[in-house]
Amino acid sequence: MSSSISSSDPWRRFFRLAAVTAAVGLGLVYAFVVLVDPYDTLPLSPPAHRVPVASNQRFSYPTLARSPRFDSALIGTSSSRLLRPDVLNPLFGARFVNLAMNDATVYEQSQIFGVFARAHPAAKTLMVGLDYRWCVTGPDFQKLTFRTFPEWMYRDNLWVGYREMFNQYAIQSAGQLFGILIGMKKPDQGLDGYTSFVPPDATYDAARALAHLQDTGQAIPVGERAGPPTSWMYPTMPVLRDMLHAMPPGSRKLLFFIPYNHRLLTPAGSPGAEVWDECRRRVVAEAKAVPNTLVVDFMRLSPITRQDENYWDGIHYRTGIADRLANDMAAALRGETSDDYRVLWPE
Amino acid sequence: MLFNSQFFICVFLPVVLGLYYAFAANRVARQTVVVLASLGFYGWWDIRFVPLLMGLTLANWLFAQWFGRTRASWVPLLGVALNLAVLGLFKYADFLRGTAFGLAGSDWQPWHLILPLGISFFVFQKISYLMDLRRGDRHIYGFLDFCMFVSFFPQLIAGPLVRHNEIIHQFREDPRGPAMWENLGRGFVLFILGVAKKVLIADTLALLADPLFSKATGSPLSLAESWTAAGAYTLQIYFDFSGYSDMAIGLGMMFGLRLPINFDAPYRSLSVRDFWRRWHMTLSRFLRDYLYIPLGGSRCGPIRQAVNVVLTMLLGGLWHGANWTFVVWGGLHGAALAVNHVWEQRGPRLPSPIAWALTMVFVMACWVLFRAPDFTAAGSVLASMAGGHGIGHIALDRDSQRALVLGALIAVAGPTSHAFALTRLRPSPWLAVPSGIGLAYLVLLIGGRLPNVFIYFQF
Repeated sequence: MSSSISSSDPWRRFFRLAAVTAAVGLGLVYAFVVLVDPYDTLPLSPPAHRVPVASNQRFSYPTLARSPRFDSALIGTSSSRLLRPDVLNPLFGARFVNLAMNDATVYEQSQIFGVFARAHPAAKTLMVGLDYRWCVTGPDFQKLTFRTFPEWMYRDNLWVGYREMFNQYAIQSAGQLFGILIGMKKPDQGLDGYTSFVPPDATYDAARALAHLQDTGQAIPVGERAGPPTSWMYPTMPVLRDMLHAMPPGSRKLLFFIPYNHRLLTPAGSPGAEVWDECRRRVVAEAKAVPNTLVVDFMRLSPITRQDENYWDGIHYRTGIADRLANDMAAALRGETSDDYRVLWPE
Repeated sequence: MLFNSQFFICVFLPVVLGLYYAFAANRVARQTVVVLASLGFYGWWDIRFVPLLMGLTLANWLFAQWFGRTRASWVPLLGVALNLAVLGLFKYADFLRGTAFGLAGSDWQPWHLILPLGISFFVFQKISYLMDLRRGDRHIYGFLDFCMFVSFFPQLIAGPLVRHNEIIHQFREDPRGPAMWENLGRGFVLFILGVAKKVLIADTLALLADPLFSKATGSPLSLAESWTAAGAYTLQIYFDFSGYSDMAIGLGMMFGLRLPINFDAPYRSLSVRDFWRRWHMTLSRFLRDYLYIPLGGSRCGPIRQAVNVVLTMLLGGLWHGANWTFVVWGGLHGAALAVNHVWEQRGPRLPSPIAWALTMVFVMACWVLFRAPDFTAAGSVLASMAGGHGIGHIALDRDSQRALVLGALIAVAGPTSHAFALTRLRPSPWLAVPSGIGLAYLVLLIGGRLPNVFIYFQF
């Protein structure tokens, strides 16, 4: 390694050029991301008609949950994502936002609900799609998945967002949104949270779907269980209780067990069925404590669940079934009965 | 704080480097900047352990002062005992208690003491200094020099294990000497290469190896899965650790200080002995100088020498972690070194490809033991590698494929990062701009990768 002064000159230029390139590059990228504001969360971003672009709904839904365009929310997992606000709105006389997220844990569902509830003190309706995540047993439940959950977006102080824009996902999302803003790209996500993640219904392949269905077994929530079912711990129930109590008095609360395909349903009297049955009892117990709460059970043998052609796989039904569920829930609210569902509460 | 974190690269390093060179003319001031920065760097992880780091530093310095005045040979030994006691308490207490209670068949509750970051490194560094004093080294340093020696943040957490006599004398030198810009340039590039090795290759391969080793704890892997797991981890640990060493050495250079090289293309080794000359070289020389040679080294008969090397490597294995899998890993390497020694004296010389393949298979098999949480899981993976659980297949995503191929090519055939940055690199603008862009890209990658989009493949 040289130590002469003359040889240090090119090194001086080398180091300065490398450092300045890195600094300027990072500065330009950061400026681009915060100006575009890909998640529509930053306090000082310039006005623009921003639309959801993030493929992980955990990033795109907090802004929707805060939007004054809505007065009602649907919470759940991908099994509830296909329920269309456009269908729900006239049935319930409400303005729904679908905040159901792929494989959302109960914690994540409660967090997005919290954002909605804080922003809508006069909310009209809450719908919660209940599935295996709500019926796990034991002292605790899974908080997060492998998908990134941006906690900061769910807090009130959004200034911290400025330190969360320095990553590839934010850049990618900013690039997508910028493409939409300048008209080079079409939005592919709904402004009310609804986005169909299944192929067009016209391309439905019953044989292919059946092959997937035949691969599925009974769905039994995980967790520790000892002693009689009444002694089991259902750790998500306090979360459900808090959510129900966070809704304003007079609002409607509609809890529904989603319609799993019959292959996933547990036979009556089996150990697996005991877990679900006890879960239903616990949910009803929570519902009884809060006025205007309805519990509807689609997770049963019914004209919907018996028919394999209604499903893409064991937990994802077709678009037509989603619309049918919306109509069924409105009917249940009116006190009507149907083979599709059973109203667990009010009895 | 990690070197490969956005805060370190974008804030901590520029600020500390700026202050260091702003005060460069004054030795006390620039060293004070480094010591305070190092304490901040360490405290960022857990401020509760800064007093431990400082207390141990002060105690060791006092032992050295005491020895300087009395020349009593037991004083350094007292210091070594203190260091080993601290290491034993934090790192090995539960391990030793678990083993003892397990042998006695009694129930026990682990203490779950938090392991102070980098304790294995800074304790060994202090031990080496005290032992050198006992062996006749006359260097008794001032407190600031000693503080900077043991707390210098580039090497504080994970080495290289620097010796006092190869760095403290450098503290005298004004970093603004004629080689300043060259040191900054080469150090900058070596740091970037280290980040790239860690973030692009090691972290990507971790996403491949981790689930496979996790799966192996519940069900056996197929032949394809087990070799993929072993291969991915073999590359992961190399690029992770050598990447970190590159970052440390590069950072040291940016402060005008030379740290010793720690890795020299170990996966090109033609024997286990060769491997340990190239892998974690500063640990190898520590084990050699402070364990193997005091035990008798090669100065005694062949059997005693074999016992010495196995014992040294057993303890070397234990140094890596408080688990019997590490001990056995070290023991296997020790046994292999002993066999290697005998073979070199009496066996035929193997053709290089065969020698390389045998060495790599042994090293990979040992890495399985090193990575697996217990002997059962390790045995299961090794049985799978031997074909005991069927051939099977594994589908690799594009990132994993790239990381495996690129990692293997670099590890086996490419230039080492330090050879590139410290020797081959020329100060061309055509390399400066890509270096800057590379760092910017890596900083953004560190902030968060693009997630694997959840696609409903089944539809």
